[in-house]
Amino acid sequence: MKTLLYPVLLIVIIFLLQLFLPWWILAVICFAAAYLYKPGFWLSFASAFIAGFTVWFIKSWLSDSDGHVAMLTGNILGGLSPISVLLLTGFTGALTGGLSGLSGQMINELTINKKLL
Amino acid sequence: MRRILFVLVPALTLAFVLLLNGNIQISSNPLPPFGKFLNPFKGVWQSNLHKETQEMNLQMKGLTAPVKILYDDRRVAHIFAGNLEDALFAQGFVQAQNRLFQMDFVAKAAAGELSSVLGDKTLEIDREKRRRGMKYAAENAVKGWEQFPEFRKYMDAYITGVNAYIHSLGEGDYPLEYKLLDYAPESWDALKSALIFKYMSLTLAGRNDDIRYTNLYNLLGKESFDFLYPETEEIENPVIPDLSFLQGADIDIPHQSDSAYYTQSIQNAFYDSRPSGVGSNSWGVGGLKTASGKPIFCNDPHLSLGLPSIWFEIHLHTPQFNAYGVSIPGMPGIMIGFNEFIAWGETNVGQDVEDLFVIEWADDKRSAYMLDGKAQEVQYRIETHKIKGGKDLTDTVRYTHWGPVYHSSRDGKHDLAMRWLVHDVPDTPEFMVFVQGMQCKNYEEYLEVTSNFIAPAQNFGFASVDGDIALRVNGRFPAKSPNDGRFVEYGNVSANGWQKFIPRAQIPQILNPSSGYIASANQRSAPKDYPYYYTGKFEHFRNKTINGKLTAAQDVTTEDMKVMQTDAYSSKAADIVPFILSSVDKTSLTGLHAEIYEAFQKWDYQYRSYEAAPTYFELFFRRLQEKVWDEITPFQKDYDIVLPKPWRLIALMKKDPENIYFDIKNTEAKESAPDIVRLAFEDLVSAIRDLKEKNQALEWGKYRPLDIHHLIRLPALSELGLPADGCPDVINATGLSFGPSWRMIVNLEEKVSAYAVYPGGQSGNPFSPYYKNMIPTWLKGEYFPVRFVHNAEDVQPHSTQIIHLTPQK
Repeated sequence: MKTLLYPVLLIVIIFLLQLFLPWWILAVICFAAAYLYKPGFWLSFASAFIAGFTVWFIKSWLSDSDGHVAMLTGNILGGLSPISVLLLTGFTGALTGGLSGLSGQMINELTINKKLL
Repeated sequence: MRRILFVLVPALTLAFVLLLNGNIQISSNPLPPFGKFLNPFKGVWQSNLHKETQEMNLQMKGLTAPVKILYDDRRVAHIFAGNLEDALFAQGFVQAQNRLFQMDFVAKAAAGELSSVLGDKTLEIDREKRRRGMKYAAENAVKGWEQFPEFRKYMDAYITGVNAYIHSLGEGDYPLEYKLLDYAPESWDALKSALIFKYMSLTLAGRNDDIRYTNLYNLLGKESFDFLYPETEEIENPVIPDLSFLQGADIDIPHQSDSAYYTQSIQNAFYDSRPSGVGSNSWGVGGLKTASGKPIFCNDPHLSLGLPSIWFEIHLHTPQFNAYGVSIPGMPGIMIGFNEFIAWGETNVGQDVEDLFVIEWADDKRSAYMLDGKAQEVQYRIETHKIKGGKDLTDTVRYTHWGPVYHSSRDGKHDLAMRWLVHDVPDTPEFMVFVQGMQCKNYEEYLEVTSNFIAPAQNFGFASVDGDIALRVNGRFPAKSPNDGRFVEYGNVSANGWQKFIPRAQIPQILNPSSGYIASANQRSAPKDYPYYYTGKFEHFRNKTINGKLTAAQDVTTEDMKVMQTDAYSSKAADIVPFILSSVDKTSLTGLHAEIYEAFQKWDYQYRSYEAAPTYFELFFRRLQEKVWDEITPFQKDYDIVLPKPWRLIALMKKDPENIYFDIKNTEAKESAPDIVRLAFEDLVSAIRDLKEKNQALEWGKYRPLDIHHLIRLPALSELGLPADGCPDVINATGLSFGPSWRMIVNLEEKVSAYAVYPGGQSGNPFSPYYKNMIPTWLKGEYFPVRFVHNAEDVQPHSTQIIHLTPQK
């Protein structure tokens, strides 16, 4: 249950807070969630990765109904196709989320799990 | 091991986030910070178009009454306001809504602050602007404007409107370029508007050949110099054809002695060169020559073509006036346009108002200089360059009696200070000229309000429903005696400087000339016997075509004017090609020789994009110049010089074909003009053969395509490689990246109507369909009928967006 609920919860929180706060709140959310819930290394990374990708990919796709932004942005970035720009956006969110989640888990272990020290 | 990993991963994650946020840069040519830029909530994905289509109701501080703004089907802003202040507020608002980045960027370019957003690659461009005192000039302008509080409120209304838009923006609403370059818009102020005004002055009145002519004078000697570089042609069509405006005038010209001129050549002096060929056409045809019996007024300024365009089309309506035309983003008012009574426009004058003086330093530290036998302290202005991704850099500019020391030589022996009219604190409310001008009802009013104009001097063209046509050279000019200001001068004698200005009434002007038309195309403004010395950069070919056509014109219609404004006939080619045809023996020609000869023979001297003859001619003329001026070109290696003008070469070929300059120095034979033409033709054929071997297209539009660059020169946001008709010598004066930036034709019948087009679009947003939508129409030489209406209901059916601004209580 936790495996399923955790990423869904991340998606909801990321989406809501990103409406008002800077983009890096994504990193803070994934870090804090992993730090507090200790979902384990694999889940801390994968859930946040999936959540970051989902929010960034879908939100950008919905924002650009006619594909014009993806097309021109691709040209600005040196000839990327529109789908590449969407994927680049998705993976930027995914990596930021995933690495932050993993970091949250690691810092938790480092500071709370004294065995490591 | 595990511990290291547990520290390393979070540390790298933090670095990754900082990198994506732009806090860490790994290259000097930074990509946008990807986290911020690709953020789907506030980044590039939010640069979409809903803000150009939504109906908006906005409450605004600083308005006195409701204003309705309607964007039409070309996104021209039609503003319906209750009074002038509110109209200007709304003008500021719509300019910012469509062109905010452009306004900001041009102000930064003028101030020498591009490096703060683009990094160190623009540092030298910035340093030149600081040395030239661009910001100093803008600060002085604002100082001058403060002296006119009764007018300053109009500037303030405009600025409040710009800021009302800026302050309504959230991060997600910033124009695309801010997201690419990762910075936020700042509030607008009078200094920024002044910087934009001064940038126009830099383009139009910030050029001179003082160093080049000084070098040539000293290298060639007086006799050769005077022979090769005369200032007037035998036959000229000055902007103002006669001197009747001077009747009874009391003329007093301060005399300057020849000893004022610097007698040494200046080696490799730093001096920026801007593209030549920037200029404009304007003419007005009086009722006697039009089919309607009422004047037709035309104007097409040739400026750098960019995206967004230099112009923003606008319609301002209040109960007091109803005006339409183009404005400059960052400035209130309408520069070129018309209302229900009059039409107006400008072309550049080109008279030299920027003189250079050699400084004689009083000490090694260059802290004092000699003036009239006494040492004078310099004033230091510390210029701090903020450089994106780098450390601040400070530059000290020394200010003298003349102005800033613009060029510093290594040994200090010929440091040059600049006396530039554009630095002066204005003693008139000059920024009001285009605000008051657009409200005038007749020539008397127009003459009065435009008298406040100082720089960059323009030929102000005018026509009215009353039937008047008029032209006035307008601006401030130092009163000079011959050669004064043509050369670099000694800066240790204050009398070498400007003593007084030409009184306004003695500046060339004309009302309803007997010719039945007025015309200006950057040629000399005054006839040869004008008593004040006139020097500068003037045009020699376009004006002849225009005046020739207008002299012959009868029953002129709007359609005739469209054809004329896009005409590409070169009087320069018409002067020279017959020499080729008569000098080269056709009977002996075969192959490529014959092909090129025949192309010249068939050519009607129109620079059409699909013909090769213009390309042949340009390449031929370049070779002809190199061959004729072989006595001068070797100096180019060490000195900044300029070749004699093409018209001088043509005059010599016609009148003196045996002249010594036609002889090529390093050959035994003594060549004459026809020999040179034959040799240049041979070289042309070889050059064309080479180009053909390289598969280079030779049609004019492909050989010399037109590029319209985005402000930060990103190809994805530019329109490049356009096959355009024309060249700088013809009415359709296109260059590599400049040309007719606005074509306007106004019919001054009882119900005034107009046609216009410019190579761009109203929106500065590259994602908008109005970003460059007018380019194809412009390229084809076609026009849009403008929606010059008298009430909002008439434009409503064509509106694409409506904005209601109401005063905030």
